[in-house]
Amino acid sequence: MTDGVTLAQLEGIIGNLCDGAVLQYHLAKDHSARVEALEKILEFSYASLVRNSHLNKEQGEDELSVTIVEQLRSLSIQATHDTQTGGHCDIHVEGKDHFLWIGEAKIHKDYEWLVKGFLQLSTRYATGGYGQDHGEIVIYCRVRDGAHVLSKWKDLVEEQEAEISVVEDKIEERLWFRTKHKLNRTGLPFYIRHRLIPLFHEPAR
Amino acid sequence: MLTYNALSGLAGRDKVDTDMVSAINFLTSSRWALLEAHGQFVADDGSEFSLDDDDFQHLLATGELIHPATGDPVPDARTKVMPYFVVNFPAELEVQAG
Repeated sequence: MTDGVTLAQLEGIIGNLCDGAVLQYHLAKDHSARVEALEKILEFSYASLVRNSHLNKEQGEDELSVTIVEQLRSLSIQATHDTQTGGHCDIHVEGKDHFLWIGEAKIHKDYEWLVKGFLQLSTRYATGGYGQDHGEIVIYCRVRDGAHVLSKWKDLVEEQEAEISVVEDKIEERLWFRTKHKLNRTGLPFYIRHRLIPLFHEPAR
Repeated sequence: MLTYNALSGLAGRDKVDTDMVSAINFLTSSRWALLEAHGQFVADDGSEFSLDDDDFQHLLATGELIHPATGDPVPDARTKVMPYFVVNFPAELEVQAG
C-alpha cells in the first residue's frame, strides 16, 4: 500500500481550514480551481470582519484589507497589500503558473467612489494575462440594507458600462454578483466579483 | 511516489507536521511551485487507483468521489485518498547553462 497521508489525516494535522478550501487551494490543478478555492477562503475572512463589525467600525480601507491579507498569509497563501501592479492594489494574490488575483477595496460612501474602484481594478491593475483574469471589488458597507446598495450598484454598472455583462447574481443569497467584460489591454474577458461586506453596526440597545 | 511522508523524510523529519505541510504548500501553490498534486485512492479491498485530476479536484471541493471501477459513491472518501506529487520544474526557473 502506498505510504501516504490521506486527506482526512492532513486535515487532522492542519485542521479543516475553511471547510477544506485551504487544501483545495494548495492542491488545485488549474487556475479555475484556484479561484474557486480562493473565493471560498475569502468568505471566511469577510465573515470574520462582519462578526467584528462593532470593533472595526473606525478602521479604514487599508486596515480592513490588511486584516484580510494577513489571514490569507497565515494560510500560506501569497497575499500582499498595496503591491505595485500598474498601481497600488489593495489585495494582491499570486501563485503557481503565473496566477494573479487582485482585489480593490472601497468603503461605500457613494456610487462614484465605487465607479472609481471598478475603473482602477479593470483599467489599471488588471493584466488579463494567462491565469490573471479574475478580480474582486470588495465593498465595505457601513450603511444599512447592503443588498439594496449592491443591487443599485449592479444596475449602475449595467447602465453605464455597455461592454459589461452580469454573469452570476447571488445578491439575495451571498451579497455578490459577478461581471464579465472585455479588457482593453488584451481584448479578452475579465471577471470581477462585486462582493459587499455588511459592516453596518447600530444595535437598538 | 512523492507523498507528504516521503517529502517529510527527505527533509529529515520523522513525521508530517504543520511546518512540513506549510512548506509543501509553498512547493505546490506559490509562484515558485515545483510540484503538481494528484490523488491516489485506496479502496477497501486494498486495490489502488490514480485518480483522474478532475475527480481529485471534485473530491477536494465537495468530499465526493465515485469509485473508478464500480461507479459507486465512496463513503468517507477523504479517509481513502492520499495526495501525491509529481515534480514539474517551471521553465522560467531553469538555470541557464553557460
